[in-house]
Amino acid sequence: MLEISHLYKKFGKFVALRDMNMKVDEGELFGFVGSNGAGKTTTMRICVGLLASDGGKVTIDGEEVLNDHKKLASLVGYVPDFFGVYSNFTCMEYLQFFASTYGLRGYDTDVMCQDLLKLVKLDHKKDTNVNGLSRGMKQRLCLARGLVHDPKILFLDEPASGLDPQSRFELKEILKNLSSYGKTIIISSHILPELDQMCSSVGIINKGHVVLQGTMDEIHRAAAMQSPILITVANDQIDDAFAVLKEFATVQKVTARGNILSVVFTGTKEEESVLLSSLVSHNVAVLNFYREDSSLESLFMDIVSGEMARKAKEA
Amino acid sequence: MSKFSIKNAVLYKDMTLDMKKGKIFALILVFNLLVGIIAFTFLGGITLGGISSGKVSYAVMPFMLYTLVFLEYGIMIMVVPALTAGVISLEKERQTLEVLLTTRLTPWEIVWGKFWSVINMVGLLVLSSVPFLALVFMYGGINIIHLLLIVAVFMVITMYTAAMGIMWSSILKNTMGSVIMSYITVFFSRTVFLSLGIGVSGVIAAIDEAIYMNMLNAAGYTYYYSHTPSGIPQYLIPPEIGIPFFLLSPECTLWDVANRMGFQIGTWSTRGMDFLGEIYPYLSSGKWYWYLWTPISVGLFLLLTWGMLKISAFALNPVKKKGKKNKKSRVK
Ligand SMILES: Nc1ncnc2c1ncn2[C@@H]1O[C@H](COP(=O)(O)OP(=O)(O)OP(=O)(O)O)[C@@H](O)[C@H]1O
Ligand SMILES: [Mg+2]
Repeated sequence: MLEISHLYKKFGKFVALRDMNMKVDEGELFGFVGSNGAGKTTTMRICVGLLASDGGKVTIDGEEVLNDHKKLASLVGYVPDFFGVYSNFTCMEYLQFFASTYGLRGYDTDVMCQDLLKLVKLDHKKDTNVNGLSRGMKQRLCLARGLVHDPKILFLDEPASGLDPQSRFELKEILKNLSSYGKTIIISSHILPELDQMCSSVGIINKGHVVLQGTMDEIHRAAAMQSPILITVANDQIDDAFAVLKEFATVQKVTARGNILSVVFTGTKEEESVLLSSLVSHNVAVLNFYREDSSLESLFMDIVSGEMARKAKEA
Repeated sequence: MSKFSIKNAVLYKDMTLDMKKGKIFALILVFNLLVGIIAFTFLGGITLGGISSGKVSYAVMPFMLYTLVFLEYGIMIMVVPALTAGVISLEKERQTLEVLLTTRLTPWEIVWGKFWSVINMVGLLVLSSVPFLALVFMYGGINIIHLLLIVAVFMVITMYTAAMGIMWSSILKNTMGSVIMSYITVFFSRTVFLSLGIGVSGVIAAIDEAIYMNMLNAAGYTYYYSHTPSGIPQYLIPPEIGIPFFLLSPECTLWDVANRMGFQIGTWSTRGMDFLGEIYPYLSSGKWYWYLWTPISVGLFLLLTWGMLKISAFALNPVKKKGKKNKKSRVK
């Protein structure tokens, strides 16, 4: 569906995007994660035609679209990290106006606008001035605006920022709902765990480069790998345990502190249990076998800081 | 049908917003109050004069027309920069421009919509005052075609003025700067060209005159000849050089179209800008370009308007095509 390849963007001498590559499949609710200044907004703005790239390609359904404004505009919807509302309009007029910018007018359009308001739970505010909406409501109205032309891909730039937990929850429900209709949605955030319950895939961007991309399951696995398995064995069996663990290819590194072995393990949960049973069958008395649930947040932090370390080494 | 039935979405939005605010009705009221006061002052004067002398002085009627047209012109150049200078910069400040640019609307369509919303508004003002202008008919001396022609030329000048405000509004980020630059540009585009026209024509006339006299002297003529003696050119620098500056002065165009009626007022014939031929030595009346004054300058204004709107659309385009190709190869 959406494919970004070798995208570059410079602001003067500063390189904001460096060989950015990302792929989003049809119907995905895709999380686009990165810390402040990573280049999320820059990427999105290029994808919706608000910014010229300095090289690279963006294709939608295999077609290069950045040079065709009308085509691009009808394929993508964009909800920026600001509102952009006309205070003199009611919610309904606001949607009608944006529909008209896509050449959509008439009875069907009015019905569609009402449906959209219903979708974002603003149907009771239909005739309220946009000025009279709360932050969360404005955010939802902007979401509806991004949908007036039924775009194939919807870009949402940090839609949850500034919303209270209740509004966040509502927004998530709306997005999940939309996604269930098959709409491709790309949502940026600087908090990876926030996207956990919602997204099917994520891409993690750091310093203008996508450093990790995968399904949520893969990301969870990667996170799990971050934390070692802690195995407590009888004091005199440390060497035996070492010998057994060495046999496993999935064991990267073993360190001992007292009688607690810390094992960096890259296998799956199933392989984890094989490891345990192997220890037991070699008559190692396992007193404790435990793996800390590594959080996505720490994975994210590790990736970002790891990248920094790598960059520092390269420099 | 939906309410959004005007083709350009931006145009429709602006017009409905203005209606909602009642801004346009307030403007119409104030505008016609001014025009009306002047019109009835004239009529009152003519009527009183007619009662006391037993004769109606028709000769004053054209002056009533000029006064009203130039009054409207004065109001227009005060109001149009205010109406246009914010149209796009306010959308920038509200951050709605970015959103508009992601829709199917092209920068040109946005600029075009903004432009026509202002032109429609001023057009409405001018049309609302046509009854006052038409009072001139009451005593004859002017026909409806002529009046429509004046209104049409007036609207072209309005477009030229509006394009300046829209251009600054597109180029600059904030409305304050745009308002200032718009007023400066509007005033300069009137006074500077007019002054240049007067100044350049005067200086050229003086130089030509000096050279001519010198040549006469050198050839042994001791007194001024009303006919140029053979072998002596009447002028060296073409006196028409100053004319383009006049052509770029909207006041001249307005004067030309309002005054070109072809009859005498006292000793003065009404022939539009032809009178320049009488003011400056070596320029002569009756030349072809005097007759084409309004069409030529209207053409110039339309061209400049179009150019400024193009610049506006270019300024708004977030992904400018120019020079993109070589940049692409430079990175990496
Ligand atoms: N118009 C601009 N001019 C100069 N630098 C810019 C511009 N826009 C973005 N940048 C720089 O590009 C980098 C990426 O910015 P971007 O806004 O894409 O980050 P982001 O991932 O959206 O961050 P945030 O989470 O803070 O929104 C930043 O270092 C920023 O300073
Ligand atoms: Mg951002």
